[in-house]
Amino acid sequence: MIQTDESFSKKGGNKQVVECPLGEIEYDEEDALFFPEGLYGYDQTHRYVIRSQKKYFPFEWLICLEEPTLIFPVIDPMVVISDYDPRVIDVESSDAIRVIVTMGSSAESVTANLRAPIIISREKHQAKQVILTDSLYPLRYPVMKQPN
Amino acid sequence: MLVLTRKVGESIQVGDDIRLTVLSVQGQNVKMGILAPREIAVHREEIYAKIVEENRLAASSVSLENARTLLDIGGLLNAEKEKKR
Repeated sequence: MIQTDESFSKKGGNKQVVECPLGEIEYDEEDALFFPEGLYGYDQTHRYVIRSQKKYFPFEWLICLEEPTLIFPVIDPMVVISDYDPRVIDVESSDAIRVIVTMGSSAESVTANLRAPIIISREKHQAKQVILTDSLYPLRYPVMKQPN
Repeated sequence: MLVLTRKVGESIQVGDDIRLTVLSVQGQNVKMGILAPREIAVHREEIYAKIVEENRLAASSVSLENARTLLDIGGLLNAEKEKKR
Protein backbone atom coordinates (compact mmCIF):
# COMPACT_ATOMS: atom_id res chain seq x y z
CA MET A 1 0.00 0.00 0.00
CA ILE A 2 1.32 3.39 -0.91
CA GLN A 3 1.91 5.76 1.95
CA THR A 4 0.23 9.08 1.47
CA ASP A 5 0.52 12.31 3.34
CA GLU A 6 -2.32 14.04 5.07
CA SER A 7 -2.42 17.41 3.36
CA PHE A 8 -5.62 16.67 1.51
CA SER A 9 -7.02 14.28 4.07
CA LYS A 10 -9.47 14.47 6.87
CA LYS A 11 -9.52 12.00 9.70
CA GLY A 12 -12.05 9.23 9.64
CA GLY A 13 -14.39 8.82 6.74
CA ASN A 14 -14.69 6.09 4.26
CA LYS A 15 -11.48 4.42 3.05
CA GLN A 16 -11.41 3.43 -0.59
CA VAL A 17 -8.75 1.94 -2.79
CA VAL A 18 -8.15 2.87 -6.40
CA GLU A 19 -6.06 0.66 -8.66
CA CYS A 20 -3.93 2.81 -10.94
CA PRO A 21 -0.71 2.35 -12.95
CA LEU A 22 1.27 3.41 -9.87
CA GLY A 23 -0.21 0.61 -7.80
CA GLU A 24 -3.02 0.56 -5.28
CA ILE A 25 -3.66 3.94 -3.80
CA GLU A 26 -5.80 4.38 -0.75
CA TYR A 27 -7.96 7.43 -0.42
CA ASP A 28 -10.76 8.68 1.70
CA GLU A 29 -14.13 9.19 0.06
CA GLU A 30 -14.15 12.61 1.75
CA ASP A 31 -10.95 13.61 -0.05
CA ALA A 32 -12.49 13.24 -3.49
CA LEU A 33 -12.48 16.51 -5.40
CA PHE A 34 -15.28 17.36 -7.78
CA PHE A 35 -14.34 19.16 -11.01
CA PRO A 36 -17.69 20.45 -12.32
CA GLU A 37 -16.11 21.20 -15.70
CA GLY A 38 -13.52 18.45 -15.74
CA LEU A 39 -10.05 19.30 -17.02
CA TYR A 40 -9.35 20.83 -20.41
CA GLY A 41 -9.55 18.02 -22.95
CA TYR A 42 -11.16 15.80 -20.30
CA ASP A 43 -14.48 17.51 -19.72
CA GLN A 44 -16.30 14.22 -19.08
CA THR A 45 -14.20 13.46 -15.99
CA HIS A 46 -15.30 15.02 -12.73
CA ARG A 47 -14.11 13.05 -9.71
CA TYR A 48 -10.44 13.13 -8.80
CA VAL A 49 -8.27 12.69 -5.77
CA ILE A 50 -4.81 14.12 -5.08
CA ARG A 51 -2.38 11.74 -3.50
CA SER A 52 1.21 12.16 -2.38
CA GLN A 53 3.80 9.45 -2.20
CA LYS A 54 6.67 10.31 0.08
CA LYS A 55 9.39 9.30 -2.35
CA TYR A 56 8.06 11.50 -5.15
CA PHE A 57 7.34 14.53 -3.00
CA PRO A 58 6.97 17.46 -3.85
CA PHE A 59 5.38 15.84 -6.90
CA GLU A 60 1.89 14.50 -6.29
CA TRP A 61 -0.67 12.59 -8.34
CA LEU A 62 -4.04 13.81 -9.49
CA ILE A 63 -5.93 10.58 -10.09
CA CYS A 64 -9.22 10.34 -11.91
CA LEU A 65 -11.58 8.12 -9.89
CA GLU A 66 -13.82 7.47 -12.88
CA GLU A 67 -10.92 6.39 -15.04
CA PRO A 68 -7.97 5.36 -12.85
CA THR A 69 -5.61 4.99 -15.81
CA LEU A 70 -5.88 8.77 -16.11
CA ILE A 71 -3.26 10.34 -13.86
CA PHE A 72 -1.68 13.76 -13.91
CA PRO A 73 1.52 14.53 -12.03
CA VAL A 74 1.02 17.81 -10.19
CA ILE A 75 3.12 20.08 -8.01
CA ASP A 76 2.60 23.08 -5.76
CA PRO A 77 3.68 25.92 -8.08
CA MET A 78 5.29 27.75 -5.14
CA VAL A 79 7.92 25.01 -5.12
CA VAL A 80 8.77 25.92 -8.71
CA ILE A 81 8.43 29.71 -8.46
CA SER A 82 8.22 30.89 -4.88
CA ASP A 83 6.26 34.04 -5.74
CA TYR A 84 3.86 32.44 -8.21
CA ASP A 85 0.73 34.56 -8.30
CA PRO A 86 -1.84 33.56 -10.92
CA ARG A 87 -4.14 36.49 -9.99
CA VAL A 88 -7.25 34.44 -10.40
CA ILE A 89 -10.38 36.10 -9.12
CA ASP A 90 -12.51 34.19 -6.63
CA VAL A 91 -9.56 32.45 -4.97
CA GLU A 92 -10.04 32.02 -1.22
CA SER A 93 -7.05 32.12 1.09
CA SER A 94 -7.80 28.54 2.10
CA ASP A 95 -7.68 27.35 -1.51
CA ALA A 96 -4.77 25.26 -2.71
CA ILE A 97 -3.14 25.60 -6.09
CA ARG A 98 -1.51 22.83 -8.08
CA VAL A 99 -0.08 22.86 -11.58
CA ILE A 100 0.12 19.91 -13.95
CA VAL A 101 3.56 18.52 -14.65
CA THR A 102 4.61 16.95 -17.93
CA MET A 103 7.15 14.25 -17.19
CA GLY A 104 10.18 13.42 -19.27
CA SER A 105 13.15 11.11 -19.32
CA SER A 106 15.61 13.83 -18.32
CA ALA A 107 15.48 16.41 -15.53
CA GLU A 108 15.48 19.29 -18.05
CA SER A 109 12.50 17.91 -19.90
CA VAL A 110 10.18 17.98 -16.88
CA THR A 111 7.93 21.03 -17.13
CA ALA A 112 5.12 22.58 -15.14
CA ASN A 113 2.11 24.19 -16.78
CA LEU A 114 2.06 27.54 -14.99
CA ARG A 115 -0.43 28.90 -17.52
CA ALA A 116 -3.34 26.69 -16.49
CA PRO A 117 -3.29 26.12 -12.73
CA ILE A 118 -5.81 24.03 -10.82
CA ILE A 119 -7.55 25.91 -8.03
CA ILE A 120 -8.77 23.64 -5.26
CA SER A 121 -11.37 24.60 -2.70
CA ARG A 122 -10.69 22.34 0.27
CA GLU A 123 -13.85 23.52 1.96
CA LYS A 124 -16.14 22.75 -0.94
CA HIS A 125 -14.14 19.76 -2.18
CA GLN A 126 -14.31 21.30 -5.61
CA ALA A 127 -11.61 22.15 -8.09
CA LYS A 128 -11.23 23.87 -11.40
CA GLN A 129 -8.52 24.27 -13.98
CA VAL A 130 -8.26 27.87 -15.16
CA ILE A 131 -6.44 29.34 -18.14
CA LEU A 132 -4.67 32.59 -17.29
CA THR A 133 -5.77 34.81 -20.16
CA ASP A 134 -3.25 37.59 -20.08
CA SER A 135 -0.34 36.12 -18.24
CA LEU A 136 3.33 35.71 -18.95
CA TYR A 137 3.46 32.41 -17.07
CA PRO A 138 4.43 29.77 -19.60
CA LEU A 139 2.78 26.52 -20.55
CA ARG A 140 6.05 24.65 -20.19
CA TYR A 141 8.19 25.96 -17.39
CA PRO A 142 11.21 23.77 -16.67
CA VAL A 143 10.83 22.60 -13.08
CA MET A 144 14.58 22.59 -12.56
CA LYS A 145 15.12 26.17 -13.67
CA GLN A 146 16.38 28.03 -10.66
CA PRO A 147 16.09 31.81 -10.63
CA ASN A 148 19.38 33.52 -9.88
CA MET B 1 -20.87 27.04 -39.65
CA LEU B 2 -23.27 29.94 -39.37
CA VAL B 3 -21.84 32.99 -41.13
CA LEU B 4 -23.07 36.48 -40.24
CA THR B 5 -21.85 39.85 -41.48
CA ARG B 6 -21.53 42.62 -38.89
CA LYS B 7 -20.42 46.25 -38.92
CA VAL B 8 -18.24 47.86 -36.27
CA GLY B 9 -20.37 48.43 -33.19
CA GLU B 10 -22.82 45.68 -34.06
CA SER B 11 -23.22 42.53 -32.00
CA ILE B 12 -24.13 38.90 -32.15
CA GLN B 13 -26.27 37.48 -29.39
CA VAL B 14 -25.62 33.85 -28.45
CA GLY B 15 -28.36 32.43 -26.27
CA ASP B 16 -29.70 34.71 -23.54
CA ASP B 17 -26.42 35.57 -21.86
CA ILE B 18 -23.63 35.91 -24.39
CA ARG B 19 -23.01 38.89 -26.61
CA LEU B 20 -20.10 39.35 -29.01
CA THR B 21 -19.50 42.87 -30.28
CA VAL B 22 -17.18 43.97 -33.07
CA LEU B 23 -15.31 46.92 -31.53
CA SER B 24 -12.93 47.81 -34.31
CA VAL B 25 -11.37 46.51 -37.49
CA GLN B 26 -7.84 47.47 -38.50
CA GLY B 27 -6.50 45.61 -41.47
CA GLN B 28 -6.39 41.93 -40.47
CA ASN B 29 -7.15 42.62 -36.82
CA VAL B 30 -10.67 42.48 -35.48
CA LYS B 31 -11.16 43.62 -31.89
CA MET B 32 -14.04 41.83 -30.21
CA GLY B 33 -15.85 42.58 -27.00
CA ILE B 34 -17.35 39.62 -25.20
CA LEU B 35 -20.07 39.79 -22.59
CA ALA B 36 -20.70 36.47 -20.90
CA PRO B 37 -21.58 35.16 -17.44
CA ARG B 38 -18.52 34.58 -15.26
CA GLU B 39 -18.98 30.82 -15.25
CA ILE B 40 -18.53 30.75 -19.04
CA ALA B 41 -14.82 30.47 -19.84
CA VAL B 42 -13.76 32.54 -22.83
CA HIS B 43 -10.39 31.90 -24.44
CA ARG B 44 -8.44 32.62 -27.56
CA GLU B 45 -8.88 29.41 -29.51
CA GLU B 46 -5.17 28.68 -29.99
CA ILE B 47 -4.45 29.04 -26.26
CA TYR B 48 -7.35 26.75 -25.39
CA ALA B 49 -6.03 24.19 -27.89
CA LYS B 50 -2.54 24.37 -26.40
CA ILE B 51 -3.83 23.74 -22.88
CA VAL B 52 -5.83 20.72 -24.06
CA GLU B 53 -2.75 19.40 -25.85
CA GLU B 54 -0.51 19.96 -22.81
CA ASN B 55 -2.98 18.16 -20.51
CA ARG B 56 -2.98 15.19 -22.90
CA LEU B 57 0.80 15.25 -23.05
CA ALA B 58 1.03 15.36 -19.24
CA ALA B 59 -1.37 12.42 -18.85
CA SER B 60 0.48 10.35 -21.44
CA SER B 61 3.87 11.20 -19.89
CA VAL B 62 3.09 9.11 -16.81
CA SER B 63 5.30 6.04 -16.85
CA LEU B 64 7.47 4.23 -14.36
CA GLU B 65 10.53 5.25 -16.35
CA ASN B 66 9.65 8.95 -16.25
CA ALA B 67 8.71 8.59 -12.58
CA ARG B 68 12.39 7.87 -11.92
CA THR B 69 13.25 11.35 -13.22
CA LEU B 70 10.76 12.79 -10.75
CA LEU B 71 12.45 10.89 -7.94
CA ASP B 72 15.76 12.59 -8.77
CA ILE B 73 14.28 16.05 -9.21
CA GLY B 74 12.08 15.69 -6.13
CA GLY B 75 15.17 15.14 -4.02
CA LEU B 76 16.88 18.20 -5.50
CA LEU B 77 13.80 20.40 -5.04
CA ASN B 78 13.45 19.30 -1.44
CA ALA B 79 17.14 19.98 -0.80
CA GLU B 80 16.74 23.44 -2.36
CA LYS B 81 13.79 24.14 -0.08
CA GLU B 82 15.76 23.04 2.98
CA LYS B 83 18.59 25.40 2.04
CA LYS B 84 16.22 28.36 1.87
CA ARG B 85 14.93 27.70 5.37
